[in-house]
Amino acid sequence: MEWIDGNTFFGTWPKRKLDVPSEELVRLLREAGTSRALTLSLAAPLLHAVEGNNLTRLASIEHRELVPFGAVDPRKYTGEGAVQRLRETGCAALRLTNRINAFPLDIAPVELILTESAHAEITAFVDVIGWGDCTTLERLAERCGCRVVMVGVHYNFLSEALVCMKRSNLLYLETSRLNTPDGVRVVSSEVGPERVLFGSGAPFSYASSARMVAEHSRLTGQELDWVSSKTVLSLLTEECRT
Amino acid sequence: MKLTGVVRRIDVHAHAGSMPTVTFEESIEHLERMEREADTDKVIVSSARAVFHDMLAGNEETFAITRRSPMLYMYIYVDPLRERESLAQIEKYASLPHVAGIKTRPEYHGVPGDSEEYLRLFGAAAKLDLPLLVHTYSLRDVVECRRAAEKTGLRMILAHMGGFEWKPSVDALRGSRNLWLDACSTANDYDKVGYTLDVLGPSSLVYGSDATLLSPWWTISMYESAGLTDAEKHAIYRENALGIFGRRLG
Repeated sequence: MEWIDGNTFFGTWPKRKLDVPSEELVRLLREAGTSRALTLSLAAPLLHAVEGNNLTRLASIEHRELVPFGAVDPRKYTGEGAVQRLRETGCAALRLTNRINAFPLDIAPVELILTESAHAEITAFVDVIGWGDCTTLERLAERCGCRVVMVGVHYNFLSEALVCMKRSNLLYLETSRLNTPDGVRVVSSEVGPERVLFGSGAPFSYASSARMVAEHSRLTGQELDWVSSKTVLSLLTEECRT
Repeated sequence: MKLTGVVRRIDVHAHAGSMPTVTFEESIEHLERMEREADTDKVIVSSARAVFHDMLAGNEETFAITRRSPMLYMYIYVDPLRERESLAQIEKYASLPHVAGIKTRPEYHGVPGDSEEYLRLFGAAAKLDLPLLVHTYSLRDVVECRRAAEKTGLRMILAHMGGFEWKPSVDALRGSRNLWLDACSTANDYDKVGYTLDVLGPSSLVYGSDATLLSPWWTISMYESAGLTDAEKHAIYRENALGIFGRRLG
């Protein structure tokens, strides 16, 4: 079974002693039994989105295990077609780094970015940090017509994620923080495994934790197929699926 | 990830009863099955009812459950705001079979771990040779518990090892005695176990899952990713717990 990680970063994290160049990320993924990963250079949220996107693209050319996210920084966004350019330069999906950059979701630049994403037919991966974020994303996804992956759903607000996913087919759930024994199975059963995708949060988090939880959550083989790789593949831009 | 050198585990941190999240299964049968699947043969539980709401009813419920199950052992939950009742709970259960220790959550009650109330409760537990599992989700919790351990001599497991403040918490425990760390927590930072091993060594860690709230595999993955030797695995998964609880896990 192939495991594709929908939530990784690489590069330097100066807030801790964490230096994970792309080749080190690939090693961590291999060790965890993960064959490919969506990833973003930490230069994107920490320094400049364009520079980070360039580094991400280069890493994905160097290592075929790495699939490039593209980032748009709402702090620099003025509504000039940045998402379409990401699409044209080969990004597989959009990554908003609101956990790292601490910007709220219910702001005009985010809404414009998601509207652009819908037009560019590119899926947005967005962090959910606490109560209210899933509801905000549900409203934005419906208003903008954009597919959104909620990254980092935790058991504290799993009920909110489920209600929102039942109301909007545009929402998907990433599992890096869903650490309850049957959380992945609950979501899979309530809204379908084709809307649940594995992510680890590596290198900040252990690359294998979310995977081991999913593997032992008593999913059927078919459900696990979706969670491990099929869902994330279905969300990538067509040219990045293989 | 392939598990190597599997050891029968002792889970020093689990719960009986309903937890505050969406789940299909939280029965005792589910807990036992999950623990067996994780190669665990002894599990020490505290009552969710006692932890969140009603100490007396929760302890009674948990005692009845652990009497029926060969793999389950019990923590007596104690509440510093109900000191007299808590002391009576310790007296009532301490000598009974399958009673392993006491459990409390200082931050939940708004009472510091090194307060006078807690020192009296911990002193009583120490006299009866009842180790403590204590919820710690900040550096402050950890530092207060260290002070309490030094004053009472009580053996303490610091559950969650300070939560997201695990790193300064580990640093704050240099040179400490009678304290062990249980790594289960949503905080699964890539270097948590490795750093703890470097600073405090394998004798400082025990295995706790926080089931049925958390999947046992969440915490097992942290240990399995840390490149432990077989000897370190034996210590963390089993031997350290046997040393802490001794005859109470017999």
